[in-house]
Amino acid sequence: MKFDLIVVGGGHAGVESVYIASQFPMKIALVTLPNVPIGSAPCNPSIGGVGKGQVVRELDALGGLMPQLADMAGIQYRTLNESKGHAVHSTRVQIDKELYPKLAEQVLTSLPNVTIIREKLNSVTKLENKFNVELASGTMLEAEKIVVTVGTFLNGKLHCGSEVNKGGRVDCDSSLSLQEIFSQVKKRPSRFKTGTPPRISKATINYSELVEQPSDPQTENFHYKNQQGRQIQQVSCYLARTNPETMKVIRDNKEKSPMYNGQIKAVGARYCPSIEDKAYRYPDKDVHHVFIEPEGLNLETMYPSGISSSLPREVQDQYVKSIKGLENCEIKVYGYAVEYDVIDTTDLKQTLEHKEISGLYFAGQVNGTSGYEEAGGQGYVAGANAALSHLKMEPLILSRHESYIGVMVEDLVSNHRDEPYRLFTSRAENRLFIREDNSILRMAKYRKSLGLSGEIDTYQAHFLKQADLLSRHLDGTYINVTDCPYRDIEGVKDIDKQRMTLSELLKQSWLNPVTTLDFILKHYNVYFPANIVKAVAISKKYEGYVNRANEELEKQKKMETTHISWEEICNSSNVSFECKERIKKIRPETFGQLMLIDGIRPATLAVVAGKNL
Amino acid sequence: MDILFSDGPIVACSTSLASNAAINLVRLSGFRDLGSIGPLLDFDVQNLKPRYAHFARIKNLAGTFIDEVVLTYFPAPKSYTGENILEIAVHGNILNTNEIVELFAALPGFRKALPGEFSYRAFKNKKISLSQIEGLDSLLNAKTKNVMEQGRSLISGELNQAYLNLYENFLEHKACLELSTDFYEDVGEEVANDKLEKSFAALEKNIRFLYSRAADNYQSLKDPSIALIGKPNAGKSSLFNLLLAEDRAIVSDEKGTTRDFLTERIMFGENSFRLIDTAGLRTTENKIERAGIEKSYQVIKNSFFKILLINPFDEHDDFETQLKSLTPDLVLFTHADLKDFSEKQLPFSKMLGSIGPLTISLVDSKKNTNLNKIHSLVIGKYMKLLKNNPILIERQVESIKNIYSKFTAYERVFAKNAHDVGILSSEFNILGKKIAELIGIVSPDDVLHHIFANFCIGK
Repeated sequence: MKFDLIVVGGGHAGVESVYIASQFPMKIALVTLPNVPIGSAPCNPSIGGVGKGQVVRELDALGGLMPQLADMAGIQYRTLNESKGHAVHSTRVQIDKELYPKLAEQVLTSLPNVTIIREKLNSVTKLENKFNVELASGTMLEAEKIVVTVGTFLNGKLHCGSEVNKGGRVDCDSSLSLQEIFSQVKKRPSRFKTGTPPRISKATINYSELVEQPSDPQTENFHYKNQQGRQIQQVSCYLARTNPETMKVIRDNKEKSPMYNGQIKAVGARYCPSIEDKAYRYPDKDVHHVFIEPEGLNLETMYPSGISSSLPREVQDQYVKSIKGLENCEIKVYGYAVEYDVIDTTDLKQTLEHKEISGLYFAGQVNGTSGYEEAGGQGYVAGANAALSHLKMEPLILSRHESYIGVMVEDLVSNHRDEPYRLFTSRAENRLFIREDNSILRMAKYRKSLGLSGEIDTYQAHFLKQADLLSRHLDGTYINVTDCPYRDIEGVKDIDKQRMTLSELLKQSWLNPVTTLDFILKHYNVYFPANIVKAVAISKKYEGYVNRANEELEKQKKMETTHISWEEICNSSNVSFECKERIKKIRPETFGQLMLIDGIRPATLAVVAGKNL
Repeated sequence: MDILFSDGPIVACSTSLASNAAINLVRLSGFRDLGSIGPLLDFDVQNLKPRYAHFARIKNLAGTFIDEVVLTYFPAPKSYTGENILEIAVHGNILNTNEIVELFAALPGFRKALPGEFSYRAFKNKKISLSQIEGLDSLLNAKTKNVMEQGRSLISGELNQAYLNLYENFLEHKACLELSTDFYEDVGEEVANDKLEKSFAALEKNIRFLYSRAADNYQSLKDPSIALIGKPNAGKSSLFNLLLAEDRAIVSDEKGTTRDFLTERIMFGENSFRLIDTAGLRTTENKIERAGIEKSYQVIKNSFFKILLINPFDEHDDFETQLKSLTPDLVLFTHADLKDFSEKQLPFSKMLGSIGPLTISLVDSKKNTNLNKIHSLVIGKYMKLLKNNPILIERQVESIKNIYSKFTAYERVFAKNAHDVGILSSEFNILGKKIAELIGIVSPDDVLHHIFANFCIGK
């Protein structure tokens, strides 16, 4: 069978790759393991979060699928960082993990140019410009481009106490090792590890002991079309806490933990510690938050976030039951850790294409990231670029100064990671600009560059026009803050200036720019859609800071975007052997990428900057 | 310091080669393994025990005996430069030492070290900070005792600690800013806010403390000078000679003989001062003289201790203005041996109020205890200023002033926008850059590492 693109793996990265590629005129196959649901959520049942909600909104503005599915399966919404200023507001939604994969499969199946093949893959070989893919049944597939999104399945190994099984997740097979599949691709020498907590029966929890966190009706949906209301019924999450007894159980069983007795050698993420990590690394701290999250409207299980563990089953039973409210709970699925191979992402370009094997793309957890959103973002970049390359169009490269996806991709391709990578807002230099509210303003030009003409493209053109109109009006309208209606705005009394433009008014420290602009527009009976009012108001608020950052950036950019020849640097006698080795590995194309290389010496930068090669 | 030093093993004599000595120390750094040095030693390098002294013989490649030496091996990273170091104590004849250095420099890959290169490598390998290097420079090249002591303090003493604390405070506050955005669910909102406030207070305290030590007047302590100021013929040169107890300046009755200024070193106790006899302060048409007077004002401004000399028999319409503009530490009346001195001095004394006055007689200098008074006033001020632990290295003073000014800007934003972490951290980054300039480079990963090391984070 011949295809233009084969996507290997049907997780969040794979789904996003297939979905964006399907918008182009090309034939796509999704090869995914039998008995593993498409787009499933094997760990926490939520989409979004700090830094991640921004990614989901970027995907929405780029025409991705994750935000649509998250809304359709969203059962509890929250705005994180609500009190910390608009720049860092992040949306998180709990999803029904039974419904979400069903919807994902429905959408992909309905795409006319997509074929779903449920089979284990044996090998991939490249002959001239074609990839030959051999499946377990012996079937041969052929394609010009391949996107690999195999998640934690590469040589996956599961740990629960002293039990070790082959597999990418519980009750699932693993795929072969990277070397067996692609003999030409290098993997990182160390394996990564991630873990998941035990799942608890919904009916056996004593909710009166827990703090309820209902869904926040104010939080906006992810998908731009869902301006009002929710797609399905909303439920609550609950907050529980560990106590000295919980931690004692874990501390007393240290020698039974595969992570601490040497059974697991792989590296886990420091920001996602298991309950063992918390117990052993912080011996003085006994109280840790445990968020009890529903896994679905009809599912029997709850997900206790914060107590992932690979301890033996009987120890899991003991420590979970020591938590107030969970005394009589029943564990339905026990927690486990999974070890898997990851590839060396410094071998990838910013399009996520392999530097040496053209046409081969990698995205998601196999690249050493964690999180559905990180996977989705990369899946989009890999899928879109595979399609663009197939159609001989310009590649799609998202700038790190305009998007979290851009931050992530650049971080991945320019450096070795010694632990799983997760997005934080602190990874973004331009945090005041890359916000949730202005995701359309930021991403529209990238979406436009794909040359597609869907409903979303018409919508975004209209959105930009209206936002620009409102913005120019705010810049050009002078007001007196002591006049009606401005004097009635909360916080206006503290302003020490009288005459100013509406834009200046929105910049004042004590004012909420969104409610202020909304109030003014309503007073004059001017109507703009709420998402445009919000995007423009917050943009005005941060304009000064963003401009200042941009000026700094321009200076830096000039330097950073300067093209360099890594070959020339490696031939220079003024550069140290060690630096050359590092440079040869990464092959930086710009000065900016050179600067991001771990362990690069100031002297080398000075030599390159001063062209003293 | 040239940052374009290339890598590879280096060798140099680390002791002075100005004259023959009993022992010189030849230092080798940055070699990959001892094997490369083996050919020059009559000693099995595999038996070199780290940080132990070993007796050995040096021979040239032809096998001819050169010297008997003592070897001490410091393997990386536990060495001054952070690289492999071999220290060789050789016989201190200049010719012998040079020959040995040349022998090692001729080994494949080796070369002679450039000035400061060992310290540069230590800096590059994060063994010492930029401020420590400056301290080292002060310690090695200081001309006055207090500058040398500051050097010591910067290398591993109190000042180095103060900078490290500032860096810690910076990291902590930055980490708290990020904590309260990225990880507030892990630690809880209240804890995050509390930590933010506390880390701000700690940072503020340290910055204010450092700023108080970086004030302008401390600069004069680096090479403290005592300036003698006054109208022509006020008796500056006489006092200058009196203090030096030797005839140095030309003293005459004709006004304006000290055209430029004269400088001599003078010891008060164990402290060395520069004694400056400035040109007489007056208006003049003479170009050269005017240039001299201009220069005098500059010298006066930078002086640590200013003595204004007044001849009460002269006209002094501008006495009060002078007091204000020159801010003398001491006003001294001369010509006390003349008749009517007390009467003439009276109007000045009235104007002076709380400052001075001291009077001395220029005739009977040997018995004049007022000279001792000058000594004790100078030493008193000197000790008082030193007690505040002033920072003397100009770059660091400038840097701290910059940090202070950015800090006050951040403080205003912190008060106004305490709720908006995005704005706070954007402003804080500007301050962070200045702090990085003082201490060295602060990488964004430092902040995340700090968070993970100090807070329990987990989803």
